[in-house]
Amino acid sequence: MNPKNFLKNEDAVSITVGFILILFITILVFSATILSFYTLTLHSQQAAMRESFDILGSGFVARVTSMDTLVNITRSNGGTVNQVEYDFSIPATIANEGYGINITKERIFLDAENDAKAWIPFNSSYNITEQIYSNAQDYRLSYDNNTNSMIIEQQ
Amino acid sequence: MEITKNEDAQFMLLAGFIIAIGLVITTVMLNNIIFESNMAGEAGGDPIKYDVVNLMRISGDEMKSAYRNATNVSAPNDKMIANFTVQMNNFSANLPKIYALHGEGVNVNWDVNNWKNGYYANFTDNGTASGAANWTVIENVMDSNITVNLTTITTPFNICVTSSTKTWQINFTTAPENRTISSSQIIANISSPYTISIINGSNASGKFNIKGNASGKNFIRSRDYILYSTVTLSTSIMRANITIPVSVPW
Repeated sequence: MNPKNFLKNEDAVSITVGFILILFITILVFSATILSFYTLTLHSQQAAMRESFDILGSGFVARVTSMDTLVNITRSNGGTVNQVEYDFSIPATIANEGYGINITKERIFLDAENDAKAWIPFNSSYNITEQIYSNAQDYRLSYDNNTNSMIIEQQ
Repeated sequence: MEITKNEDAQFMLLAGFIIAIGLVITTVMLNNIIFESNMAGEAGGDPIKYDVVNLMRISGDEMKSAYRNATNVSAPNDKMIANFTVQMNNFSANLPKIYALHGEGVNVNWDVNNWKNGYYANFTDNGTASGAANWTVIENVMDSNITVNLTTITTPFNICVTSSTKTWQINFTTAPENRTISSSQIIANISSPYTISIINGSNASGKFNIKGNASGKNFIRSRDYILYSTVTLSTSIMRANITIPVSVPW
């Protein structure tokens, strides 16, 4: 083939074959884009869960410490806490995953099956040891005057 | 083989649809990512605790005020308690209206049994038997008059007046006993400014009244009785019911 002719030749392939080629290329590019987004979603799911755990845990810690403060203030005044109760709800899933919350006197630990975890340290003067799961959403945090401890009950 | 020669662009239309569907998929995925990273939970502090503490404080202050108003005029005990109840009723009727504006239901109850039956308070920090037995009433006093009416005592029980160099211990041994320690008596023993403390306050009960001048301001520290105030506060997510002792009149 004459190189001069090759440069000027515009025959290439038929429109149909050209279209099929272009379509394949498009599909390949799209698949690559979507796959890359998929891995991105996986990462962002974990990140989103950690973020949500932090927010959820901090909200919970705020309640525990405020209950702690109320009880401490009352007791230092020689008073009696007849009742202090907080109702709270936790979401059934965070980023489509169920999770568990473990609470002790020193820290709150949230974790899910996909290895997303979060610790929030705090310190309460009264005992609290509870494990709750997201399969039930409505709980009640209350102070028990007889045992000097905080308990969580499912509603 | 008509299809390979047909140039009516039906495949271009098809490609258009494929691209459109692709766009929808991408949008939904992006949307999910944005949604998940922005899902806000219940965060932040808990402002209700300040409302509870505030309620405890103002109901205590109102009881002190009602007691001072009721005992300001000399009248039989029953009459004074009735006057006290009038002021407290007024307070407890109006308070829920104010809190209701913040979406909180409140209720205040009071217990005047100690006053009615003449049960005096212990000389502890908060007036209850389990309160701190050794405590400082006031510091930096320039001059003061101390009146103590003891009803019961198990020795030792004493009031300490302490300056930076010296301590004068006023011992009490018998009950009932009413003793007044005047400003000149204190100055004869110790130089001002001084600190007044109560030692072993849980061993005795009765009334005290300390009036004078400290840090350039007049003060009154006085306790006749311990009354109890029970406050309840409830919101849609929280309930509290707390009883606190209130030292009256100050």
